[in-house]
Amino acid sequence: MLLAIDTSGATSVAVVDDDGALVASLLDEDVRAHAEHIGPLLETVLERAGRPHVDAVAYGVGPGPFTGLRVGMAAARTAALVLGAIELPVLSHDAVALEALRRGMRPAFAVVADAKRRERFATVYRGLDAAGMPARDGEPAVGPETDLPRVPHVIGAVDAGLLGVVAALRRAHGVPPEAPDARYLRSPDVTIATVRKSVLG
Amino acid sequence: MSAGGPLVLGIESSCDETGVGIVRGREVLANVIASSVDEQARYGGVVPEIAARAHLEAMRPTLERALETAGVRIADLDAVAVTAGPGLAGALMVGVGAAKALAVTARKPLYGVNHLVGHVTADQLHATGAEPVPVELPTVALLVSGGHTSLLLVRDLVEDVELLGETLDDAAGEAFDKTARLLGLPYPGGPSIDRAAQDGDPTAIRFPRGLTAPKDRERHRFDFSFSGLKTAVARHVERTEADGGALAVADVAASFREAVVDVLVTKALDACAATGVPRLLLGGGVVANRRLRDVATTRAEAAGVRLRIPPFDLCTDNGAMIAGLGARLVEAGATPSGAGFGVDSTLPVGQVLLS
Ligand SMILES: [Zn+2]
Repeated sequence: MLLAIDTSGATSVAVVDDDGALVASLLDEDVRAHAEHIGPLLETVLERAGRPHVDAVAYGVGPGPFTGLRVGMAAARTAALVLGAIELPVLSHDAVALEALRRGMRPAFAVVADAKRRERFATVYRGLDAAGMPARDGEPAVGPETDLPRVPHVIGAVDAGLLGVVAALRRAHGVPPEAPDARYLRSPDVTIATVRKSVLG
Repeated sequence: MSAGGPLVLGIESSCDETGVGIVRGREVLANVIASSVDEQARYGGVVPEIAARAHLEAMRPTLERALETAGVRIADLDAVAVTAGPGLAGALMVGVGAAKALAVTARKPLYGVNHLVGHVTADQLHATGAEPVPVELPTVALLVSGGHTSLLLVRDLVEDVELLGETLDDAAGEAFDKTARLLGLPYPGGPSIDRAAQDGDPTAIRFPRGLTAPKDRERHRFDFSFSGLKTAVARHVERTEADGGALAVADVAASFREAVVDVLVTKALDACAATGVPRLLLGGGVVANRRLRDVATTRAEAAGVRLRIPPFDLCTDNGAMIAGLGARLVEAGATPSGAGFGVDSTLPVGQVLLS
């Protein structure tokens, strides 16, 4: 069984079997309380799935607002440690792209999400990979709305169930997982004081 | 529960140290710390986003190293404890996310605890093979770091911790960092000002002692303020430059340090006198400052106050103190926090445990 966690937007936890069938899943749309929700969601989903033997933990690496994103990544990596499971990082937008494909959306299209500061995260999808999962055209990017790619846009919450399906099917087809690093796409916001302000007035 | 007390793993991520500690009762089995201080150095202070990113990268390796060092399995743990506040929200959330996953997947009780009370708990811990430290309560506790400057009256760790006073602006450690930057000294400011002050005259410049004037003492007897001191140093530096003189960095560093240490120790001992508690506990990273330890030792002795300073690796932010507080809560039969609590960046010290 595979446990999947994503907090790149909402908080979402799911258990998926090795063939990519959903066993249990929960999603909380509150985008300000990831640290609160991750515990109860994880507990409920594991209970509903009957406390299964988990040998892989899939987790969304973003892009998404950083503070929330990290909660799920920290939880997933720790869960993998406790359960003795492998880590399967997944680009969070892949889950939204899978849902779009299943609804009949035809590539190319872009998954677009709020990046705060009046900017958007966007990832362009052009087709399917060896596992039949969404295949990207380039890397996700962040920028102002006016710079968004000129293909149809898809907007939606990242569902851990779909994220788990992407991870399970890619694993079954031997597609290598994503790099485990959070996709911040922005350098840590810092303003360095180089000029001393006068205090003599 | 295992012999020797509960086996508890504690996670700390409130500022720039990722700490994981494991204790059995009061015995420290592991105390592993990963710090992002080197990454913060070029900014001259803790940048919250840099700290939070570093916590995420360090969390799993630090957990693994602590388990390996302690030689225990996750299945053997009696409980998990994690800092829920006060601290940097984004940083705290990394530790809380990890702790919840640990507790839920391993099916262990979870305690979301107060960081400052963790600092006080550090005094009760001891290394393997070392003599157990006798618990002395009530005590006044002075906690000084880059993130906090607080005076507490601790009657009971689990049930009765009272805030006597705290800083109204900068933390003492922050004042060291900012002053070091003014003097062109590297980050972190504590050790670099200590080095620069070595050959300086602490009486060369009389810098202000914040909130010690009689009128301030009426309302803020046990509170601190370091922003006026920082401004006074800036003014001194600027005047010297304007006059075309050479800045005596050693004297400025020594005089600044003396002002900080003087205020800290004076107010802490005043708190001992006012509460009638002849015990003072120091905690927090600024305890590394030699001058603070020396002045506190001399003046406490003169005042008939028994001074306690835990080993340095238990004074800085660490996971063992959080595990230690968790162990005390388990022993006291406290109800675990459950999985639904959130972080509280301004958690009051009177709230030891989140529910
Ligand atoms: Zn601290």
